Amino acid sequence: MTEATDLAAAAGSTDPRVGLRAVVALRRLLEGLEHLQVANARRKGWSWQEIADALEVTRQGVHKKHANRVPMQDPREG
Amino acid sequence: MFERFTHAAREVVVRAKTEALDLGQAPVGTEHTLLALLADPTIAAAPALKGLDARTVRAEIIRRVGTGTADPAALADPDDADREALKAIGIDLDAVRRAIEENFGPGSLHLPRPAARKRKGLMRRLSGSNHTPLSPRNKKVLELSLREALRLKHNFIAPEHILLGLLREGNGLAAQILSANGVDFTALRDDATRSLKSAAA
Repeated sequence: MTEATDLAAAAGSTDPRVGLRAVVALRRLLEGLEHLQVANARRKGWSWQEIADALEVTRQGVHKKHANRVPMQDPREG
Repeated sequence: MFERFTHAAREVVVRAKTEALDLGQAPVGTEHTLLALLADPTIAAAPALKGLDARTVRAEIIRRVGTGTADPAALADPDDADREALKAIGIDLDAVRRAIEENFGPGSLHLPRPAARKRKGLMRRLSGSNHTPLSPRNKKVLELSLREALRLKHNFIAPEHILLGLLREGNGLAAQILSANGVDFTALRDDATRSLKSAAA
């Protein structure tokens, strides 16, 4: 079997363990990317409202989820 | 409490864990926090340290406690299982990581671990997996760094505040090593405070 058909077979797997594990891994990747991009937006001076709009979620939601995890700016770095 | 940590201060916490892993030691103690602090050029340049560097401290740690107290499971790549699962739906995690790191630098993409998502508290989240928890004394040091920041009326916690916390706690292996190398705590506190004030204007 070629690699392409291997992948197709795995993707269409009806074994719940395989399919659900892929969902978990994808969610983790999503969370990692979201955190990285929110932190980047904050560093670039975006407001929470702007980030929320771009992510298509509420401002409260994005703030609650990320505010604690985005580093505080050291005033000495300006 | 980690919400006030600056990027550099977070780096210290993360690096302390790496230092512990490199030495094969767990939990992450004040001595590993000291090693991480010494990697910060501003702190390493403090006159009161009299040139004490990470290499000397590392040698001292090994001399005092040896190596290899950590669970080997902590050293395994935690992303292996995710890599396999993503491959099954046609996503190459390493390719994604390369694309991200090209713009954001090495190690910029962290996949949150299940333990980190279920547990409450940033201490847990930043300290990472179960295999490398922070020692109670090291936790105390980080808590004291917040108190030092409040005392100085700073709304941020920088590596210098962590150093102040470490000196305030004063009983960990880090403090013992500093003491054994003739470091004057009061002078080092002054250096850290001056560093915070000089540039904070």
